[in-house]
Amino acid sequence: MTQPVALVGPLDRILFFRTLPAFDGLPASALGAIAQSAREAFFSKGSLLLDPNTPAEAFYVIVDGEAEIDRAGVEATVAGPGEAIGFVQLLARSAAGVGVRATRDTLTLELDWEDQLDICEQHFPVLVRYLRYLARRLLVGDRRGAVESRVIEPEWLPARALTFTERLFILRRCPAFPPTMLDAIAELARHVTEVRFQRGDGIWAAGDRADRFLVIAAGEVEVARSHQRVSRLGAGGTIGLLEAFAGTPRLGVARAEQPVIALQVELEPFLDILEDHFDLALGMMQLLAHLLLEQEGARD
Amino acid sequence: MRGFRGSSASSWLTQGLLSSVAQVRVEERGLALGAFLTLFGFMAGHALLETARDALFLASLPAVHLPWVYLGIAAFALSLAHRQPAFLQRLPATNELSGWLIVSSVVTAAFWIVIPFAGSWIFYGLYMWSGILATIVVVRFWTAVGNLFTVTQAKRIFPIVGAGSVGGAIVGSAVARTLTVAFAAQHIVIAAAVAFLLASVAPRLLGTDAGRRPSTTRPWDLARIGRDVWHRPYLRRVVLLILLATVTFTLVDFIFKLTVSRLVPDEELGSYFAGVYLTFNVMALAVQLLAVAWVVRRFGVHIALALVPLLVVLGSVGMVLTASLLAGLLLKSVDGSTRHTLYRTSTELLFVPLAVEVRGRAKAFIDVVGQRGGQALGSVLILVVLTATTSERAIALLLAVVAMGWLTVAWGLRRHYLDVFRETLSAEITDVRLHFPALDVTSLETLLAALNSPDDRRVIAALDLLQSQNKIPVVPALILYHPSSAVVIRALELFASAQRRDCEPLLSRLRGHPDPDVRAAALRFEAAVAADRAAIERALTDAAPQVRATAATALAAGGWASLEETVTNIRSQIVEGGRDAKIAVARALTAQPVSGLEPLLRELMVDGDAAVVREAVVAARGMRGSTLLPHLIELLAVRSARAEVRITLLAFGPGTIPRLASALADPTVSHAVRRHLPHAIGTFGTPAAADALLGHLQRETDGMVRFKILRALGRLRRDHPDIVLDGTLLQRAFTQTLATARSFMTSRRTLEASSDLRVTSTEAHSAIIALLRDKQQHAVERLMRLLNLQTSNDDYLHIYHGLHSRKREAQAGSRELLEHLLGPDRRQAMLELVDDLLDAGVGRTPEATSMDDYERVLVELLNGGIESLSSLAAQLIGDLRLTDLERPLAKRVPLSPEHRDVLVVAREAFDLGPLAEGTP
Repeated sequence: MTQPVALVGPLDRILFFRTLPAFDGLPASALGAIAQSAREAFFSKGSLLLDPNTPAEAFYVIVDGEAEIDRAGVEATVAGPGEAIGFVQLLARSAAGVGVRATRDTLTLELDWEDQLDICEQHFPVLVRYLRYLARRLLVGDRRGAVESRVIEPEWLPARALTFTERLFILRRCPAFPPTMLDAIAELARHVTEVRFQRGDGIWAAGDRADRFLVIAAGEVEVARSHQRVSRLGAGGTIGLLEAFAGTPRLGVARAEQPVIALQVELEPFLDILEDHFDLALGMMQLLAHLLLEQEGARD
Repeated sequence: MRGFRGSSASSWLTQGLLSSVAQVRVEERGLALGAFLTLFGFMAGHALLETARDALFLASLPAVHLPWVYLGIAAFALSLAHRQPAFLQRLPATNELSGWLIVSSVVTAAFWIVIPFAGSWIFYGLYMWSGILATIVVVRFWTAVGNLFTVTQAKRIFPIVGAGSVGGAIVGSAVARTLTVAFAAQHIVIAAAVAFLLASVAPRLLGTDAGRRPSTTRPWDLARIGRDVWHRPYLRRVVLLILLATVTFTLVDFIFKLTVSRLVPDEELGSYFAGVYLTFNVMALAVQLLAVAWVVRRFGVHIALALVPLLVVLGSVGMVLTASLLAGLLLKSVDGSTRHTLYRTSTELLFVPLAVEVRGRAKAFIDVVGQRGGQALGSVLILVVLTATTSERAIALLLAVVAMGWLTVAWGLRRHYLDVFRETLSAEITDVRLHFPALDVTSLETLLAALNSPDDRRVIAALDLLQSQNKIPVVPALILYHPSSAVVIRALELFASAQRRDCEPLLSRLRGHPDPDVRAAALRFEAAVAADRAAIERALTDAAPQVRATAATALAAGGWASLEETVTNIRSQIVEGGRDAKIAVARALTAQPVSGLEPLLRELMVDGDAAVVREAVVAARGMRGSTLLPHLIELLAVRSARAEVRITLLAFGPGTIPRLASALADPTVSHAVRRHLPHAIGTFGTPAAADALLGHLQRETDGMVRFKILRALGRLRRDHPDIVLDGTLLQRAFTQTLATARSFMTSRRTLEASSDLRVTSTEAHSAIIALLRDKQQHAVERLMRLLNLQTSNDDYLHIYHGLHSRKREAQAGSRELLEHLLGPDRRQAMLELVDDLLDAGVGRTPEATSMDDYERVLVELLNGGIESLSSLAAQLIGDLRLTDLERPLAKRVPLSPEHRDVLVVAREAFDLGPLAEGTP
């Protein structure tokens, strides 16, 4: 149901996208690229924006009108102007669709997956904003503040400092990183620092600057907020990643429950690696979007 | 040597068949078999019918009546194209194909029943029926099959399917030859009906998706489709090609039959045609199995398309010269051996790059109009010539002219064929470069209206857009009374840069603004635009240190305070105000650079706070002191400051390029800085910048830095297409990168083929393979970027994008375009790399690697210059205690401290003792 006549001019689009949380603070060139790639799509009252039985191939930002989002077994919610629909599903490349129907005549701006790929690859700050947006939403919804992926059994690790190849193997096994992109992981292995903590050591405190995250190689870490444990992570787990992406201070305290060996990843070099290895960046974005869908599903 | 020739020929055919079958993937075999059997059955029936038809017709009627029959076929086929039987229209395409075969069987059987009771007129009907049948069934068949495969698959599978056509024709001709010994020619007709009936079962193997057509093609609206076709230059040429080809084949057929009817006795016609067609079909099978796939893959579609008309031209010249039965046979043999093989396969490939909807409509139109129109045109031409002469020579001369036209069109089609792929790939790519629209009155109104928005972000965005279009003078000064501090500060900055003196009366109110950052911004404006010394001095007593720091800097800029006094004052404000005061000083220096304050600025540039560093880098733009340059270069390693550093370096002028180039070449400069130098150099967009980058590309050993150089060159070339890059250097870099990519591929393939579980179960083994694959992928990207730098368009970037697409049509289209664009010296090597990555080993059954070969590759990786691969190789050697590799491990010199750590651990497995100190 796309109308051929442009109702939203290019400058209106830039101004419009500038007010959306996911695009907050983007440079004009990136915003302009997004605005330029977006297509107007008009939906008359009652028509489907997104089919619940088909994976989302595009997301829509409502310019004018209203749409009802319907997920199986969940009370329908209504989205209005300035709200994005299907955004997280698209970033997650989720196989499950979401049903969205216009409840009034609705004008939207549409961006499909291929547009997203091109924009993120050419304007990396867009991808960083997406990561920040997803991480912030995850932190708001999930009080744990850690990517608690499947926990891997601790392995024997040497008393000496870990070599490059050992660090590489640890990172490759970490569920937060797609294991196939080994060249990127090898570069990450060169940039991580090995850190060790004794039982009871504080790793960070609430309010500390979140400019790094840890991949646990051995031992266990407890994350607590207001003296209440919110998560406990072992080898293979990643802590502090969401806060680092979100750009917020530490929300809780992290402490070693057992002697811990971990790989510390500084955010800035990590973003550089993501910029140079776009597939890894895309993998991280998909991971966060997928976690957000899981989290919202669980909460619902 | 006994039987060598025969066994050699059959061995070639067998090998050709096996080789073609081997190209077909396991998952494609069901569909390929279905297509093969359908065509095999139909063509067997058609060969039987054709033999009977020709023998019966020429025995009862003169050959010069044939053009009228051709015309009749064309007219009926065109009429049937408009009106498909309703019961067939309701069927899915594959069932529709079965339906047509059943109809064919029934009608053919009816002819067999009627022939004994009818006069010679029935042979006109039989001839036309066989022609109409071939048109309809073959078109429906190839449309159905064309929708099943991508162009890459089609190139592998169509030769096999085409072999079904020829195989069926051979079997049909052989059966016809056998039957003519015992039966009259009319009884071969019923054998054809049986063959069609058997063939009707095979389309079921094609699945329900085959031949999926949009509903708009039913009923066929030839006029509308014709208009669509006419508007596409590529399709127009395909119509012309098929039209000329069909005229040519019609002329060849007539010349041959005219010669045969003149020279072969009527009673021998049946066995003569059966024998000749059998021979042609055997030749066709040989062509199909030995030549078609090879020609198409080796030389491309355009050469395959041009070969047949070239042979016809040569044959027609022979006919003009001799007018003999042998010349007629040779001419017809070109038709008989290539029409359903090389010609059919190559023309079918012309439709594959089209989108499914376009393909379905265009193919139906082109096949009907091109083939039947061609046949009609050919017939009319023959009839015109026959009014003057019945000489085969005259018709052969006409044939030579038409075939030359066909050859010309075929040769010129290449460019348009590639354009179709380009068009498809370009549609896949979004232009993500910002093209600001021209700011007309409506746009300006939009932006000014946005200044009234209650959303601060929208207001600031509007201000920035107005500034990008140099329209700050039209922004109302009253925006300085906006309730948001962020909006006021941004407006003040922009007003200051635009020297808006009309704002001065409003500043008095801002001096008492509760937000000190607004007061500081207002003070910067007063200092830069109004140079109001009194106002600045009053600000020295402001409660906020950032305002006092701004005032101190502004006094120095105005020459009203000494440097020493200013530095002391600023330092004391920084002690009290910390981050805010530092940012205020940097912003004040941005508004009014002060020579002599570079040391202070350098301190700010190494501050721990990212915002302070960023502001200091911006301030450096106005200072341009050469002492700042090393610090700015160092700051390229800092992500949050990097974009501003690049702009500042650009502001320092082109004299900076040699400094940046020398840092790029300096191995003591950290990798974190070096990897960002190419972008910084490329930002200058000058020939000097291009030379610096390209010159270093040859010397650089780090893959990431090389990649960054290529990206920077790509950006530079895109933004400044007039800059000429040194082709020799690019070619050298290409050759070097190609060799590297191939070495990654061959090493990986060798390691992958190991069947030794002790080796393959290790983590180091799988990591090496994954890493080699990644590196091959990156090398291919670098090769594409290098190729792109050597061309004036973005073909290779589109191809690279297409190869990474999740859509198989885009992947196949990219590969096809790549195959055509590359020169013969690069084609095979590049395609092998690309195919290897696309296929991910599917369909490849390599021989198992011996341990000796495995260890040889490990040693190569261990001794190579890539640290990650060398480390993993050392780890594997140590983990498995590969004693044969103890010596290479012992001799390995570490590349870095990290590499040394890995080597030390690996050496422990052999008790090799400590590694000698002093190594790099």
